[in-house]
Amino acid sequence: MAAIESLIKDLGPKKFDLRGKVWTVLLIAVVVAGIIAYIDQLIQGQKVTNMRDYALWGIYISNFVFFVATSFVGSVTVAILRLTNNSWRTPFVRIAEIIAVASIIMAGITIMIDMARPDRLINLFVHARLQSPITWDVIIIPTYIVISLLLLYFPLLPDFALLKKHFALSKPKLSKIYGRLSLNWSGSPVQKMLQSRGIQIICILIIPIGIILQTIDAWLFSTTYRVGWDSTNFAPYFISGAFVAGVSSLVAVIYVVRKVKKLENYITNFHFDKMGRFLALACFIYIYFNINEYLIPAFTSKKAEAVHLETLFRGDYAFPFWFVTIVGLLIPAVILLFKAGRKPKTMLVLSLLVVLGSWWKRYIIVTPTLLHPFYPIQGVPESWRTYFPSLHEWLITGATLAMALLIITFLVRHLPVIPIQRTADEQMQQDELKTTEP
Amino acid sequence: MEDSSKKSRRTFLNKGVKATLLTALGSLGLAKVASKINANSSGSLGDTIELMTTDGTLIQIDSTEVETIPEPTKTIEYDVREGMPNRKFVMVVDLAKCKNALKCQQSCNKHHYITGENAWLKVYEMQETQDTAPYWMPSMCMHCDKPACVTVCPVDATFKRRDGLVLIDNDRCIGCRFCMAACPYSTRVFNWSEPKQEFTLNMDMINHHPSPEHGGMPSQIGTVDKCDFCPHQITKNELPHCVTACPNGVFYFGDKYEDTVTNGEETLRFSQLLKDKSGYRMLEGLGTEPNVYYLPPTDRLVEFEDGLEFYNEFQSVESPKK
Amino acid sequence: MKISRYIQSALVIAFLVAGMPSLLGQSQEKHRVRLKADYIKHMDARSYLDIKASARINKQTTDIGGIELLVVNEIDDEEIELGTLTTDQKGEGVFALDLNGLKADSLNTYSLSVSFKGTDSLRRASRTVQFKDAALVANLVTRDSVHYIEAVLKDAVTDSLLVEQNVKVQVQRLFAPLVLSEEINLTDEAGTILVAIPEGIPGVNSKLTIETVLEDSDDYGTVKAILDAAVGVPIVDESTFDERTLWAPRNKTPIFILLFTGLLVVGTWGTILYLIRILTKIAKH
Repeated sequence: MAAIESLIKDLGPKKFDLRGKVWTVLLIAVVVAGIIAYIDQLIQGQKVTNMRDYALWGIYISNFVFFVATSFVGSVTVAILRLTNNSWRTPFVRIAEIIAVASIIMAGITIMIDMARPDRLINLFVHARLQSPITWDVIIIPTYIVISLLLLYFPLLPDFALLKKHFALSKPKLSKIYGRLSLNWSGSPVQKMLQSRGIQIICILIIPIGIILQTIDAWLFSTTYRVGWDSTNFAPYFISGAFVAGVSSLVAVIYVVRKVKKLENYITNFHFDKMGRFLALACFIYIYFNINEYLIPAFTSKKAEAVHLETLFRGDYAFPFWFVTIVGLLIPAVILLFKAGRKPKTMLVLSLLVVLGSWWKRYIIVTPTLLHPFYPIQGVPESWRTYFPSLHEWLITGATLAMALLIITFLVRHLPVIPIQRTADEQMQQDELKTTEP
Repeated sequence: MEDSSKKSRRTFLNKGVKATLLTALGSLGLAKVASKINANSSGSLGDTIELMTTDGTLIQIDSTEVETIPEPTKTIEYDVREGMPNRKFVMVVDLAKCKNALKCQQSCNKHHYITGENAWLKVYEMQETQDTAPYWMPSMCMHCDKPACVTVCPVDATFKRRDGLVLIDNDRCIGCRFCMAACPYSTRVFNWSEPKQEFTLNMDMINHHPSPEHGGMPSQIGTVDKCDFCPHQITKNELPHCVTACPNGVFYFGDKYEDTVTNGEETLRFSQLLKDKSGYRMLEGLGTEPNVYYLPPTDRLVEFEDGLEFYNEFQSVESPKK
Repeated sequence: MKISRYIQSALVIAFLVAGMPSLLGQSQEKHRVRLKADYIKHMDARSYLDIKASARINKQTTDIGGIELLVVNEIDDEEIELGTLTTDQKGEGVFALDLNGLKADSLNTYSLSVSFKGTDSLRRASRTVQFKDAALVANLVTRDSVHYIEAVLKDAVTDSLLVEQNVKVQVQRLFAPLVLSEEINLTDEAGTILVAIPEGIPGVNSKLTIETVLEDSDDYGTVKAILDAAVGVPIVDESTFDERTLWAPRNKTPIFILLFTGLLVVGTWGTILYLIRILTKIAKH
């Protein structure tokens, strides 16, 4: 079992070096700053934000939508790639699941930050109205959290068992924890059968649930009359947007983890090439939906629509719109078509651009629409006609992002980021194939 | 000899006047104290009570003059979330008469203690396009029959009643603002901070229990507010405050089931009024079925320009006087 | 020395002058009170005085609530005290009258006075109301399938017909009555008016409460005859309150939403529970 041991050495949890510790401390500092800002928001009320009666939703909601979108990576990478028998996904699946869990948890927290009366949170359960899209959200998010956790957990069982043995002598307490978590995994045929059945079920379940999650997220906007939101295109638009956000986050995180944990042998250029194609596919699908969303309304140019498009194409939001569309979507998509564009370093840059574009894209989905309602904006202070997040909102935004990264960091630190047992099994299979060849 | 008698006379006068003064002032003081002891008002001794007159100004009355009398009880009992039976409240706004006097807004702000920066009743300067004429359009909650705001509320904090009113339960609201996003008439306002309302002891506050039927009393931080069609007035058989405050008779209010609306002076058949003056509703195409009808500004009684002097593009609530 | 004495005297005089109003026992000027009293008679019911007290304070007319007023029947030189009333918070009050207990003069005119004895801050005031007793009888008449209100106005004592009096016919409504008659609707030589009731006026169960009113006449006050007639159209209930709609409270959720979300939740969470069961099974082996 030397192969397994070497796998454990490479892939198993390792203590943080100085870089890791500094990174963690920085994240915690950002989170603490955000918590202080949030406490101030609780005390003074949401007037500490720059949201007012017209820009009634702001960066908190766009953060929320971003986190929900990114959590789609679990469904896409793990489930869809599995069901289409793309075996190259093995090195990523755990990281993808980790990102999904972190994102969807932060989505739940972010939306509670946006509630002005969190002391009445219980009302969402006790007095819930099923007709409201928010109630659908309240149902689907916990559901997706649980399923994502199960998707992370099921494949971990054999790895936990391996780690328990590995640390039995050097770190008995840690070994015990791994042991508990492994649920007495012994690798028996019955257990393997149960586990594989479980994983199959989860993978099938998480696809419709993931799609429903993105759909409900879109319906929070498209069930209103507002121009820019009242679009039949919104749900598939959000699903494909989630595909882009999820896969690009995955690429960025994989690059960093690979570098830090020295996993170049496991995540190779081949894998980046495949991910690059996957990301390119996601981007082109998203471009198609963007054309439907922004170009076609310009054809009839109904007055209200025309105002909205004017704001995005040439008005106050022109810079973010074109940045997001060209730099955050078009250019990466085109570059990814070329093999040179799918080298790891290039892909890091491109994926970061796409992630930034994804985040900013949700900002321009939420805010401009609110600033041109059907009725003219009159009788309120002039500052209410524009919106830019306040310091409190930035601190809290940073904190939620840092918290997401903290969760990812924690899980990457303590879990094998690449499934050990599975990798071993796959290697064995490959070896067997080699030996049977003449 | 003379000197000393003069002196003593002066002294006598001085002392005498002083004594009289002291006695007079002293007896006056005693009298006042006596009247305070005898006062049978509920206010503190010698207090004045601040009352609000029917046109919304505050005056001081000596508390001994006033006896507190309990509020008249409603004649029909009904559930606050269900509403008055056999009623469907409608409002008609005659745009031909509106000249932006803003008395409606001031009365509404006063009686609902609106202290934020966004009034519940706003008079918009409207002009559909360059070639069509501008006009003043008072706008408030439409109390739609298909209210988008009610549909999206996750906790049943805003609700639609049998009598047509859409009200808000500020104890239930979680501050998600979905209702504000859903409303196409931009009529809801939000309390982003602790509302700086001052409820002085007056007739409105005696025996007042917070209820969705009297919006803004009190407003709560982190919840939403809007025009309530003044059910607290309707239960007294009185018209909403904006209707009575308008000096130009712009607002008509009534029960559609009675087919009668009144602006306080004229009382008309609702269906006839809509027919005669070609009434319509705002954003009809959205299908919200609003209950506020508008009469177009034809045969204008007042010029649009007359209203410009009161127009403040950036303010709809008077700043509180310090 | 001389100067100080002058100053002393000046001070004393100043105090006296300043204290003069206090010495006179008045702290402020008394406000003028205005009393309004109208005689109102509901046929087949009661008669009463409708009273309102207001005052001019700081150049504003204000309602005066909580003051006591005395009602007196003045006949020749007699003054018969009828009773007192206290105004409510809006300064209004209603004083019931029993005409049998009142004395009228030789012209069958009753004279009542409402007086207020004043307080420290309010002046005394009084108002006299004079009226004769009139009788207004209203009936629903149908001719050629058109409904009319026919009413006869007479002097209650002499039984003489009252002609050329403006009698209104109106439907009782929530805030203000809906007037059916013309602006000037005078009784003819027979003391009668005839007003048509238009079709299509809605009422609860088609019932309309119709008031025939002689309003604010100089001699007779206000006389009102009220009758209920089922001459309206029934109210059509437009409310969706009892239906299952998207905007209904949660106890009236549309069935489709209930079923769809219910099935989804049960299906999903049922599967999740099954997966957790698999985990426990793995743990057992």
